[in-house]
Amino acid sequence: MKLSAKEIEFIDNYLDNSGVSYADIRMEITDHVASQIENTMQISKEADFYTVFKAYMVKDKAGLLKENKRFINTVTKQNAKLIIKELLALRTIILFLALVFLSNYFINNLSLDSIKLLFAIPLFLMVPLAIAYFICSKKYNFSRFSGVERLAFMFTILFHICHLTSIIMKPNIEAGISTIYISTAFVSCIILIYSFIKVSINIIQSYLLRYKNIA
Amino acid sequence: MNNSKLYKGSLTTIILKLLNESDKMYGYEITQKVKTLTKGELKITEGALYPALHKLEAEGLLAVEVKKVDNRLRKYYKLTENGERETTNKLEELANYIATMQALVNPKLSLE
Repeated sequence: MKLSAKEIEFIDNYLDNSGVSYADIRMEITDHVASQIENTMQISKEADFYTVFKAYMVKDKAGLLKENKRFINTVTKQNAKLIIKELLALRTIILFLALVFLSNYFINNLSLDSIKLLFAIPLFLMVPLAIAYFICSKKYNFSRFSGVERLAFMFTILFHICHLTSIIMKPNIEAGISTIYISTAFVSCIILIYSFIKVSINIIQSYLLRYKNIA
Repeated sequence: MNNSKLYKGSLTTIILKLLNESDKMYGYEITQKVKTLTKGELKITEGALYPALHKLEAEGLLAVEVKKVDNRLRKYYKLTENGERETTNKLEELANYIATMQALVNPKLSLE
């Protein structure tokens, strides 16, 4: 016996109201609960949907919610791993070294006031990034997918790293620190943003591909 | 997963082995397959199964496919090339473990 669309929607809404807010996690749990209910109703022909659902939730709700929490942690770790992998890729290291070399050349020709403003660039770069993320999440309606939404968390961390670098570097620039340190810190922020953008695009594309057949 | 803590360490191997034998499987299907194969002796709970599946997916051992089935979305898991290699390693590891335990628990039988 198969559950109706209305019954599936009931399970989905129940899980959503219970805190399973990410669509990709809820989808899997909904399917598991629905499959179990169908199986129970198949065995005991007289049992109705709501009775079986209630009995299942009384017994297994705690386990399901625990699984929800674990999944979010796994997704965050997975995103972090992808960014680290991108940072350690040979092409990123080559790009980093090339940019350090180039920026060091330019920084040497800049005035002290201009160098001080240099660390505002990574922070300003993050504004269009945040706008692009917001527009994309609305356009593709993927804002409630765990992997994509956890990117916002990573974005916050990235912003704080760039901001902290700016705070640390400012007195050092005034103290006349070597330009190689300034360019290394500056390029590190740029490379972090670059890796974040690259990984974000990959994650969003993988979600679009995975859910392309689903309206 | 209930029954025994002894089974806990083998959950990944069980999942990989089952996926190795079929093209693709979804979560509930895996729990039912294990239940059937072990005649109800081993029951995998969703709280143990899904974190293990997500971990394997994050490690690149499993690939995922989402399909609409019976009014709902279903997430299917299948082995990647790395997953197939890992399955062979894990099964070998498990066979060695069983042989070692056999030698310890029942030395007479293991010599035969």
